[in-house]
Amino acid sequence: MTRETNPPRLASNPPRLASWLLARVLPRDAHDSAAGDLDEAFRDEVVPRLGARGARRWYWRQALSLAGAFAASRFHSRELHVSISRNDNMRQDLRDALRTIVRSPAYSAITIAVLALGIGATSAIFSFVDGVLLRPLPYANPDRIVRVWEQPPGMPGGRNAVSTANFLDWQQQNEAFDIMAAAVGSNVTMLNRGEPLQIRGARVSAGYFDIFGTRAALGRTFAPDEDQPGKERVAVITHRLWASTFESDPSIVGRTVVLNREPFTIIGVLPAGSAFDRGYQDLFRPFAPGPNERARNFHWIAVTARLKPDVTVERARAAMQPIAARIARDYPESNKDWGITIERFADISVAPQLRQSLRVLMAAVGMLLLVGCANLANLALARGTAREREVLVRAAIGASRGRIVRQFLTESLLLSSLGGLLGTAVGYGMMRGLQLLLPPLFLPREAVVTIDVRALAFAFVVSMLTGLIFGTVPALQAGRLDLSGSMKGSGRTVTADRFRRRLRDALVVVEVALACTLLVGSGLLMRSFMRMQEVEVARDPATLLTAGLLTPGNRFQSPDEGRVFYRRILERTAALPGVATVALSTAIPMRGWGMGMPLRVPGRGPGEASRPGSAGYKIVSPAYFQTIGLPILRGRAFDASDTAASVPVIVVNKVFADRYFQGVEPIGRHVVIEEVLAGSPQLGPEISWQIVGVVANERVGAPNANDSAGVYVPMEQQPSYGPSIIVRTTGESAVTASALKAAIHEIDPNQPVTDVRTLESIKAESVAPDRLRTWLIVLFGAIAALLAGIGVYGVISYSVAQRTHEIGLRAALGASRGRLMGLVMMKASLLTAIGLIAGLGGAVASTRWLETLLFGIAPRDAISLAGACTILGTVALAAAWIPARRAARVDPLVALRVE
Amino acid sequence: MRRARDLPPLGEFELLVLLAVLQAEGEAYGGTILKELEGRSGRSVSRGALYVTLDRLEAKGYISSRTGDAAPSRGGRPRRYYTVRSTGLALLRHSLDAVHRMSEGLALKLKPS
Repeated sequence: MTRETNPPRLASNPPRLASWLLARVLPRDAHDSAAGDLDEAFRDEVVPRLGARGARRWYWRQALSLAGAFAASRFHSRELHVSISRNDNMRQDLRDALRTIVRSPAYSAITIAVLALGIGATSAIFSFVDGVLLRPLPYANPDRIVRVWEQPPGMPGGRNAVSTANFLDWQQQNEAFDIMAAAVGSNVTMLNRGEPLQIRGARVSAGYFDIFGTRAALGRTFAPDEDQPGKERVAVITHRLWASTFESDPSIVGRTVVLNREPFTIIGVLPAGSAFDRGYQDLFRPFAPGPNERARNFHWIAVTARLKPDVTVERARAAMQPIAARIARDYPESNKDWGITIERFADISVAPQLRQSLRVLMAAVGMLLLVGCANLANLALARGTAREREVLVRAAIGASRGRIVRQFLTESLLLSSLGGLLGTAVGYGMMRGLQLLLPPLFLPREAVVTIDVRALAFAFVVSMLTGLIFGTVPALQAGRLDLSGSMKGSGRTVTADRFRRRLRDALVVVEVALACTLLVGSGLLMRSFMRMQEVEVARDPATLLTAGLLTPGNRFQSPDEGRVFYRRILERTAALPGVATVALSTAIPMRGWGMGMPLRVPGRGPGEASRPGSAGYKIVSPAYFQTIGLPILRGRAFDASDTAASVPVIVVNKVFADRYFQGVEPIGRHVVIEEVLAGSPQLGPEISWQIVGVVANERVGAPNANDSAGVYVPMEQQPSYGPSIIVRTTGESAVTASALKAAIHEIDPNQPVTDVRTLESIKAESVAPDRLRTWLIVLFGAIAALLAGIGVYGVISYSVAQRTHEIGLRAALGASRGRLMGLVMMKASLLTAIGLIAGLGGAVASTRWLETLLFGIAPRDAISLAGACTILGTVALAAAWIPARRAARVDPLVALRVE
Repeated sequence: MRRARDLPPLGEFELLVLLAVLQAEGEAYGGTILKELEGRSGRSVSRGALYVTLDRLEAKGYISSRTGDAAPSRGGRPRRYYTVRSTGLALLRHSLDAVHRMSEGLALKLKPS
């Protein structure tokens, strides 16, 4: 048989990708013969011998061998080629640069590694800055979304939750907003296979999701009339909840679930990855206020609204004022002097502390990157000495100064691009790591933290900039080499040397200065964080076990039924082995007051006017102060004699006593506060509480928050449902979470017991972001100090090497070792001192930036300033010590022979 | 023409390739040269190294080439046939002479055991 009659079958064709590769890599004339030979051997010999599959493998091996050999030969054949043409293009520069990089692997590896770390860290921090601060909110028309609050009397710009009646009036009467929606946090208990499961949720107005432009991925969100009483038995869930609890059941829409003992129909699932999947709540029900939820004086609603397309925030503020004035006029007993505050959602969705933390971190990592650049520039300069010959040869055969500068810049840009590529991977890893270290739900739900096109573009720009920064100095230096002088002698000239030395000195000063500023910042934040850690949240928080006892408002028929229930809980848990004391409270330490109440303090005599005010308001069981270890400063704590039938008594904290009774005995005086009706958002008649005690200030907020005025009332006299339980155990984890749960379930098997944890772990979580921020900056500072030390070492070694001759002469003339070392150390000290002074200046100028992040530390804290100088001074002098010793050991005979 | 002893010496692989081109005289294109090399030297030869070496030898003027016929099994690409030029032949002779002279009198030691 002949080839002509039996054309090759398709299966015996060479792999197309391999052929394509050959066509790309091989020169045209070589390709025709080599690829032709390969195809011929493949079809005629190898396919019959190895079969189609084996032959294709064979072909790939051969093709790679060919491609590799030709690529390498092209590379080598230009090894000695030096470009002389002025019109040489970018490709030639790139090829030269690549060759230089490959030829000095150690230098290239160090440079790329430093850049990758620097660019990686910068990109990682940027991904947070971008996600939290820079990106527009992930909603449709983010500029039109606003938050609306009530403004309490005498607090311009104050933000207070809104009462139902006021909200309903605003909703009906305003002309500034398309949609106005209420949201009320409302957790529910769902029976899931017989187990009570607590789900974090909210009740929202029908238009709530439309404000954000969020549509359901499955089913639908609320119809316009579903927030009317009688139609509200529907629920929308997040994708997160659907995937976890409902196991992504595709037929979820229309399914009935029992929430708080009432049936609801699930009508929709929100899209995956939306802001709602990163938020706190998982289940949304319509906010259809019942008859006992329509008070005008109980402020509990968060209001979000969407501006009409042509309405600005200013116009909306102006348009709402008359409405507020009308309500204040019509309902003076609840609304006298109350106003309305409106803010753009984008302006308030990120807490100021987080905003500032991110800015500081970004600045710190940027400074670190600059220190890295200065270091690399120094390294490149040192290497420039070794490359003088190359530069001179180039110049001698006609390369212009611009051409040489371009060549050096190309090289550093190529290095920084490689560093950037690797840095992006490093940055992704760091970003993931930081995300894992942050407590859940710490970032606002709008924040999308990811490495995407924006972050990649950022990394690219940073790479190019670093390449320019650290490449410019050696490029300029190379461009300055004096041809005529250099070719004659040893290849170096006095002017070029002095220029280079000054450049290197200046770079080291910059490094020391930046590192000093960073170290001062690290010191401040670290000392502030340590102060924060020392704050006593409660006595021995590790032995305080806390848990939430969520209770729906319809759980008890009467306040008495609630009293009995909670009494039994206290009795049963107190009887557990390992329990010292037990208390109930509407809020546990560090989790806020729970409630704030307007109040008035009546004057002493009949003639004295009563003083209005407001304060935090906690409802607690008698053992609360004893359990968390809060000392009673005056008077007494609550006890069993304070019952519904006895005189209403109140305990105030120190801030409250100082504010309302400056220097006057508060015990026996009265505070008038409206009653909080248990189980519904309403206020009852005023109660005149008699002060029986003053207690030390409780740590109500984060450890670094200021103390605020607050009062405590006994739960027996002011019933409340759904408190938290706080158990003081006799030793570390003497009472387990399961024992606590079991005890409570003995009384009511359907009572959810949520979030069981020690106060210690709550404290750890609340300071975790501060801890992370502090350690990041300390880490950046430490690396910067190390880099600065390496910089000093490099410069001093270089200077010792340069001055060997001089030093030898001095030694020969009788200079002692000590004097020689002093000579070298003198230079190091001078450079370091200049750097430190500049750095301290920078630190003092920038501490105002840190001020809002500091706790218990002045921004010009002397210890931090001195500490930074000491550390950096020690590092720098230690780095200089090594070359200084070398100088002291110079043998005059050897040194004098050098030249 | 420069004299062979003034030229840079041949590398070992270059020597083998030149010999293989001679062995395949008349039919010496990539495929046959590779077969001669592998068959006679008894070692496996990297295809890439062969073609790069052929290029280099041609660039140095030791061998010349002409394009032959194209066949469908070659994807329509022509074969390239190589012949050793006189410079190459002289250099080859010089190199082999050197080997012979170097190995003179070592017959016993170099005998395959």
